[in-house]
Amino acid sequence: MLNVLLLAVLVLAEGASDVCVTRAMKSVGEVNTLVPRELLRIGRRVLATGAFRLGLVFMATGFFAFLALLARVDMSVVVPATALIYVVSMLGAKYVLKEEVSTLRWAGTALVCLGVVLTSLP
Amino acid sequence: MKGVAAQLPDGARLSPLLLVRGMESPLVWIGILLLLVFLGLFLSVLSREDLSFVLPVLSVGYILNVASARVFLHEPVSPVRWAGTVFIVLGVVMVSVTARATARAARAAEGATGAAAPAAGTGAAGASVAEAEDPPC
Repeated sequence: MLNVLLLAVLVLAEGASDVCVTRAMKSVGEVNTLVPRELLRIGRRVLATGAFRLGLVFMATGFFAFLALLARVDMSVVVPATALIYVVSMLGAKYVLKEEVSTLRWAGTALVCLGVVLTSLP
Repeated sequence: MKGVAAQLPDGARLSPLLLVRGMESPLVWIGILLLLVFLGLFLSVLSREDLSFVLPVLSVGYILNVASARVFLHEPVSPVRWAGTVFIVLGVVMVSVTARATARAARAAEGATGAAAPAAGTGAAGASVAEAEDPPC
C-alpha cells in the first residue's frame, strides 16, 4: 500500500513539476541566445518566478519519492512505472497549460510509454 | 558508482558512506555537470516548444541509455528492450510530425489575424527578451 502511495506521489509530483517549470519558462519568454551573460540574466529571472520555485519543490518531492521507492522495490519495477509520468504531464499540458494535443500526439506518447516500459524491463 | 561500491565492504554498499565516497569520483562530478547542462537545455527548449511535444521527444534518451549500456558498460540487452526502443522511435516520429503541423497551424492563425496580434503565450516580458537577444546561430 505504501509503495502505491509513494508511486502516486512520484508520478503526480514529477508531472506537476513539468507543468510548473513549463509555465515559468513560457512566462520568461523564448531563450534565443548563447551569450553567457544573457543566459545568466535569464536564469536569474527564471529563478525569481514562483512557478519555477514551486516546480523545484515538486521536482525534489518526486526525487525523494523515487529514492524511497527504490529502497523498497526493484528498479526494474520502479523505472517502467515512471512511464506514468508522461500521462500525467500530458494531461497537465492539455488541461492546465491549454496546449493543443492532437490524436496523433496522444498516440505517439502512448507508444513512447509502452517503449519506456519495455526498455526498462530486466 | 558501481566502481565506488565495489571498493566498499558489503555492509556499506547502501550506507551514506557510498554518497560521500561517490563525491571523490570525477565521473560523478562529470555526471552532475552533465545533469546541469541537461537542465539548462531542457528549460531553454520548454521556453520555445509545447511540453506535450518536448516530453515524448526527450525519451530518445532511453534509446541512448540502452545503446550506451550495451556499448560502454557491456551490459546484455534483451530483444524485449530493443523492441521497446523501436516503440519509442515510432512514438517520437509521430509526435515530431505533430510539431510541424502545430507550427503550420500557428503560422496560418498568425496570417489570418494579421501582424497586429503579438504572441499571446509569451507576453510582454517574452517579447522584450526576444528583442534583446541575438538570433540563434
